[in-house]
Amino acid sequence: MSKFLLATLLLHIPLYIYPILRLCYWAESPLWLTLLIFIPLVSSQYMSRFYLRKKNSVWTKLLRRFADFYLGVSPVLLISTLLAEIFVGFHMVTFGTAVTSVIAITVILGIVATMAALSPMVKTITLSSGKLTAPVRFVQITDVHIGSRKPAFLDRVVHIVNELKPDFLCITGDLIDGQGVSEDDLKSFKSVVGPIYFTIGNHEKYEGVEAIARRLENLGVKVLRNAETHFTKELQVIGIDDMDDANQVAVQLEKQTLDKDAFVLLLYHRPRGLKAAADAGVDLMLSGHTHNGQIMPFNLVVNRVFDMIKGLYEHAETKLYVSQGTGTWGPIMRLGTRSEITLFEISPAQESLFPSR
Amino acid sequence: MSWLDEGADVRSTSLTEEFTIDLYRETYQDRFIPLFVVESSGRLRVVTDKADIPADCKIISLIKSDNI
Repeated sequence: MSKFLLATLLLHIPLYIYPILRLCYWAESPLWLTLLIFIPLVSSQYMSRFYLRKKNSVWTKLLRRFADFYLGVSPVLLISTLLAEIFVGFHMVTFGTAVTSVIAITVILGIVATMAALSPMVKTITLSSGKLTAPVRFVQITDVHIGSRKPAFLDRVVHIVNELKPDFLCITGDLIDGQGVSEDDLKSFKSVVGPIYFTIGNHEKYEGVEAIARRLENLGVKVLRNAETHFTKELQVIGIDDMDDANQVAVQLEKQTLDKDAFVLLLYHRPRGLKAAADAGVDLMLSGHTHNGQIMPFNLVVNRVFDMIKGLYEHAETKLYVSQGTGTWGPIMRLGTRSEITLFEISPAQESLFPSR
Repeated sequence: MSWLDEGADVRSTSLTEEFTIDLYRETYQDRFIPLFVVESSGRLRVVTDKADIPADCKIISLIKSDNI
């Protein structure tokens, strides 16, 4: 049995089995009702992710939404059930009040988390570079997860991007994560003025990266697969294929010809390889992938896997920006994190009139 | 109107075991004109035959996206 599967099964105990059975016990529900609640909830992720993965009927979509909503609120349900244990243990509340309170807290936080995931915020990062003679303004979107999210979400994101009037748009992977996302579903990219640079994420590999790349190229998106191009002669853009290999950035940058006179922008899905990027002479690296954990307390787990999970980092002269992600994977929820569209404004560095002595 | 006038760009791509020349052709279909290859030995060669592109090389092409 793989470690992942074992960990998933073990996680079912605190997130599914314990709170459901505890709440049913407190509610004094009869066995048949307990089983009616317990069996669909416990099997919901297995059903939606594996058994019904390639089915796209209204019912399977509804089941997936239901399974994801439960998964999203399950940490809240666990924590509130544990807190209720204390109150019940000290006879401060009745069983009935405990059940009502736990369900109310879970549903309210579930709604708050859903609202947060539906409306991405625009975050602006201002930088300067001595390699530019004119200001550059571009936008990063990442981890949009069309498939998990409807194409209408992409339309909304592209509308916000267009309102920011960027010179170009960067997409750092995990744009698509589902079967059957057609060119028509992505047609809003045609409304973007200026080039769109795209690099693949892990989810594109699961869904068939060649077909996705072809669809995107048909829409005018420049797919950079271990490739480089120039936006202007002052700005070079490099895209590296996502790999589960800590040395991928180092290996691929060694094969690229970096323009030392230009501002070098590197797009790589995972926030790994900052030192290699700095050694190669990259000025700014853009990543995503982490979602900043998306839902508390999953960010504590992501924190253990990645050193850099959100925001701006620096190594020598090179900066790395890790976006929290524009969309969501699994539950359409964000708790303690925000969906973001990132605007970069890079101005030419001005020489100081009063140089330091 | 030339491809450059239509906004095609020059892209330099390192082919790998995952992204082979066949997949490169499949991705860009008739929208790329290979200009040069840099062989693994470091030798730069002008592409005169679209079919003659080695597996392990860097390919420099003019690529046209559809909506430009």
